[in-house]
Amino acid sequence: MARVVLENVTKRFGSVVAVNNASLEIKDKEFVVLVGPSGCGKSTTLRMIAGLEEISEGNIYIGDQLVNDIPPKDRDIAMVFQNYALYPHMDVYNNMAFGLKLRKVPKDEIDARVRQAAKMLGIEELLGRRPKALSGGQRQRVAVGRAIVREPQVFLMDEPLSNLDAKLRVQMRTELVKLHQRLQTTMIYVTHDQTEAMTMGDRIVVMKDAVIQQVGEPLEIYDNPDNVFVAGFIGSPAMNFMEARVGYDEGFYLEVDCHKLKVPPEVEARLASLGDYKDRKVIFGIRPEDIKDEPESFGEGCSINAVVDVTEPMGSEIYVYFTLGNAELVARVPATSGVKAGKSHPFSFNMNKLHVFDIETEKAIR
Amino acid sequence: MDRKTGMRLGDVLKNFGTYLFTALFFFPIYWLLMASFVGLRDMVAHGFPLVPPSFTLESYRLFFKHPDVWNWLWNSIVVALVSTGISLVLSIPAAYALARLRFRGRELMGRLILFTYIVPSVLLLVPVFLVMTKLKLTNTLQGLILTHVTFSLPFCIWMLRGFFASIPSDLEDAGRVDGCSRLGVISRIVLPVSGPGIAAAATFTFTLSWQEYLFAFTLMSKQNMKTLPVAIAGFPAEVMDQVLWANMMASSVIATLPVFILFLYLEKYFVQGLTAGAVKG
Repeated sequence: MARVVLENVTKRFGSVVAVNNASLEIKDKEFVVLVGPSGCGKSTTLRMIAGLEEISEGNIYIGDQLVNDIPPKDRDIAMVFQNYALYPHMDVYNNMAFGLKLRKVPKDEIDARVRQAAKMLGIEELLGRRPKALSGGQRQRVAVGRAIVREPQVFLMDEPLSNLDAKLRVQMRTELVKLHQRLQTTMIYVTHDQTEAMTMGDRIVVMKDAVIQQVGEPLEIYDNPDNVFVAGFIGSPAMNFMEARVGYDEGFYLEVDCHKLKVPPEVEARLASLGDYKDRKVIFGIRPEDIKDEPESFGEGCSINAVVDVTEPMGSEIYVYFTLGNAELVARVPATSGVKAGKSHPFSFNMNKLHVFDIETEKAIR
Repeated sequence: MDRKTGMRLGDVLKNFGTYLFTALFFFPIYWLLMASFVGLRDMVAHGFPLVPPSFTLESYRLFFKHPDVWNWLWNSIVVALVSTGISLVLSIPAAYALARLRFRGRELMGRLILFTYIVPSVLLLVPVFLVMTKLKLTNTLQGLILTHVTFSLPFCIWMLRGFFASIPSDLEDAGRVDGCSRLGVISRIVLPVSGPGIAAAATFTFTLSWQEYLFAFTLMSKQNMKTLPVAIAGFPAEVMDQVLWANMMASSVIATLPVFILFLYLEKYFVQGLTAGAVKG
């Protein structure tokens, strides 16, 4: 078990910068999720930690050891790959035992460790099978098993659930979290799925265009995103954004498509620099669950009327899509709501939960 | 005509086509086999009958009575096996480097190798002969082996390069994380996984060398240094008044047998090897 530290790490492939000046400290026994869209540099970051990609600039430490020039085999890490990367010419037992055999671990110990891991993952009866005779879920378990038996300092997981069907993915998600709790080992997990990031990580690292955008606990990032990208990426359905003008009339308000939405005094206190934006345009963000399908649900001056475009019943709730000015918004309302597509309906915004971003830098105004 | 009948008719035509082409390809082999069992008298009387009036092993007996036959067999086996071995030993690391390692000039090198394969071998006959004469390698197995390797190597490199490139790089990364060095990854993971590709390359090289005529004929003029194809071609002229064609047919059957057996065993690998890397899996 060990902490992992990235110090101003940069990776270039020719003229392309894949990871730009990333600094991050992952604590011992922590479960950290790197999340972001395709090509954001999250997998490259993981591969640099593994030693599978050379670092162009910066330093990486595992434990207290600088590992920049240490080959993957000597870093005491184990990795689970997106396509599992099981050795097709070996059966499950030998796939799991391979790393231990290379390290010349005594046979009895190898056997004990493989069987213990197989029992933990419920794959004991598969030990004699070749990977091609396994289902996707079973292969995934074997890949995890291969990592577990090594008892490494750090587990690295590169989108290990993305090849599984939706149901199995949810199940494995829980199992991996339980596994982390049981093993108490540092885990670094890469995914493009924000739900996985929110549900699994002790902390989330959001990346975009080779740059770390924000690091924090899931709810901290959800509630206080640093910029428009993080606000839109984390949360499903995504946060609603619309252009608004900051006005003042015995208190701040946001003017959206001729509607004046009052900023509550307690929010004013939180957004100390909002005054700097008086009479200027900003990006106003609000999460779908903070829009209600009733007028004045959150006090005066927070309601609008809009024609509903589409409704998506999800069973326990309904996603209601409507347009306000140029912005297309979505609200999460209870399944019992009588909202109907094509009809005008009142909606109210929970302005206590509003997010405001600079229109040019897209950074949060606080 | 309903859809079902149409499909059935299509199947019949397809099957007919398959049988027709199979028959066309197999006919010369069938004829070769039948002709090898024809006795001398029957050959004089009937020429090449489709079904011999009587079966005899006379031609085979005569072939094996020839004083140089074991030399020819030995030459062919040594040249084919050693050419195959050298081609594999050289092409595996070369193909791996071209498939996996990033270095300047990689693409150019790949194209140059392909170019050497594209050049018609007959154009190289005289230069190769001159080089071999200078090196005093005519009428030696080493000279012929070297020549065969120069032709099989580019193809092997190209075929194995495609095969290695089709192996997911994650598999190698997993090996490196598990504790392998680069060489360890090649020997413990890449080579075992590439069995079909290597089998295909080996089969190709062995067959190419086993049946090669032009260079063997040019470089090996001494009777005891000939390989089977050259010796077989020289048979009728040499003992025309005694043996005629049946003996040549029998020797051809014997020469075909090793390659036939090899294909029988490795056929599935061969096809897999040729198609590997054609699509991104």
